[in-house]
Amino acid sequence: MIDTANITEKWKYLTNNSKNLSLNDFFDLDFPGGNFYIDKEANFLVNQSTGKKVDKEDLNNIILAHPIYFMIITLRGSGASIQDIFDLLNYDTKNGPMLGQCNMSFNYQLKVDYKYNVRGKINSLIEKKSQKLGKIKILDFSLSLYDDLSLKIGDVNYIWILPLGKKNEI
Amino acid sequence: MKYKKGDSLENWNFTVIQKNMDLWAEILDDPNPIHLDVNSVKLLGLGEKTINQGHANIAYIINAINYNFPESEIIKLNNKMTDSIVEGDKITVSGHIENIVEKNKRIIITCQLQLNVGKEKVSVVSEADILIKA
Repeated sequence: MIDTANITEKWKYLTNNSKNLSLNDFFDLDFPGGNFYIDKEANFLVNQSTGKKVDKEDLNNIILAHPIYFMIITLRGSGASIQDIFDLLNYDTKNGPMLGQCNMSFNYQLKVDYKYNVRGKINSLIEKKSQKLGKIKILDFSLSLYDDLSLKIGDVNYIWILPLGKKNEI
Repeated sequence: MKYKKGDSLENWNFTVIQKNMDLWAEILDDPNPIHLDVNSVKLLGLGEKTINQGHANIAYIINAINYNFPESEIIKLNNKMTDSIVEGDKITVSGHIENIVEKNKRIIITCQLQLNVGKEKVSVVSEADILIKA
């Protein structure tokens, strides 16, 4: 059983003190966790906005969600929004964070009108120098997706590139 | 079987527009201004146009897989983002079949894919394992 309240408190503490923390303090940090419901109308918009043809009149016959929902759910249902993650790291989004890599493994297909649970952790946060971007941080975290019976649906590993501006002196 | 190792996939095309970037900012609850505000992009020295969400770029890869293998299920998808896609870009997803494995009445096809703008700019490089349904 995951102690969600304790993890949330830890996130609050780290967020409030992130200026004074080392990169290692974020190692192995659990996400608070949460859940996400795939709405069929939103699934339609996801398909439409990425160029996949779906007939709106067919909406009630669509059972499977677009596989990109693996990424959407793991981020939206992790218990921490993208902004929460950047707040945790005392990172200013004005510096233009970028997705570097995303590796996904799927055990089952996702269904619309279905709720999924998310758990995960930060694997590492390191600092590097990039020729193109200058000083950067690289955030590596993994999130897993489960159904209500705790059956694992899939895993997603993210690598985010965080360019550092003058405001980010962690 | 109709698929062969080395076969090229049929190209999949799409044009990136700001309206869809605005929608994806909401879908992802992502306030990053590089997707929404061209002035932020300029201030950061990242170019002259808003930058598409990486998640949407991966969705194009998935759509290209689905277009080429309609009766299939993706079981693994690894993506490396190598360059940005910006507002107005006409993207093309291309690829080929790298390997085919038949085991226990299951066919798993490994594909190498890439998302390009024109011939020179490669923005996403992906490898996918696809389960073909009998």
